[in-house]
Amino acid sequence: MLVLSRRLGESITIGDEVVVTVLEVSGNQVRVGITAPRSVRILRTEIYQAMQTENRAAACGLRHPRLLEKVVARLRGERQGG
Amino acid sequence: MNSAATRGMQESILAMLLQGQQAEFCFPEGLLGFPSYRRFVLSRYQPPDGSESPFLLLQTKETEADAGDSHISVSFPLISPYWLVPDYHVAPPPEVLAKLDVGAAAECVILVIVTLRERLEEITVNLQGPLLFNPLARLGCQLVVEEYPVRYPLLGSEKRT
Repeated sequence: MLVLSRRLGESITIGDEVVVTVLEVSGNQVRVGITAPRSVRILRTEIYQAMQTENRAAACGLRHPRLLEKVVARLRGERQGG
Repeated sequence: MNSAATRGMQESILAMLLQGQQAEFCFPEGLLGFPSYRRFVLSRYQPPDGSESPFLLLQTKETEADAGDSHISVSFPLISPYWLVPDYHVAPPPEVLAKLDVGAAAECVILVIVTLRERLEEITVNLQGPLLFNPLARLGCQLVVEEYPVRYPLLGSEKRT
């Protein structure tokens, strides 16, 4: 990992189009501003990771034979049961 | 548009889209965590007993084996979020609408991924990562909507809403 020290108001340029600026520092929290092309998806890492984990888990779901069939039967029961 | 109208509209777009049983879509950016899969086939899931189900399947089309793990076909069960949360709402930013080649989210079919687990009570839907489909251009993408949970229980939700 590349490690750089920056002061308040200073920034880092990544590639030709992405600039990350330190806007505010208070205690253990840092606010950063990011300038990037609209096509670049920017997410908090924990959100990205949760989504990735969930997509991967979902991709394995149909390996259980007949599981979806059971769910359909169960939903039908719930609806009929009120 | 109220939620019942949205749901009705969604269902009719989907019905038209799937008249030919299945529809192929391109996800230019893939799904989060699956960047190498770009081409998918959307179809309805029909249980073996021929009954109706609210589920759809999104299956990857096999692509060149050089794209890492993409030669293994993967299938995702999907459901309409409106089926679970009638007032479900997404507001994609303009760049997402541009990627999908639509003017508004209402032109898209919105579906969410179901994470099946062996204990039925643990099955959840990912309301935070809906899939948007442009039915005309056959383009799709996964959006992140932070207001909604990644794991929303599937069963029992009919009673809650």
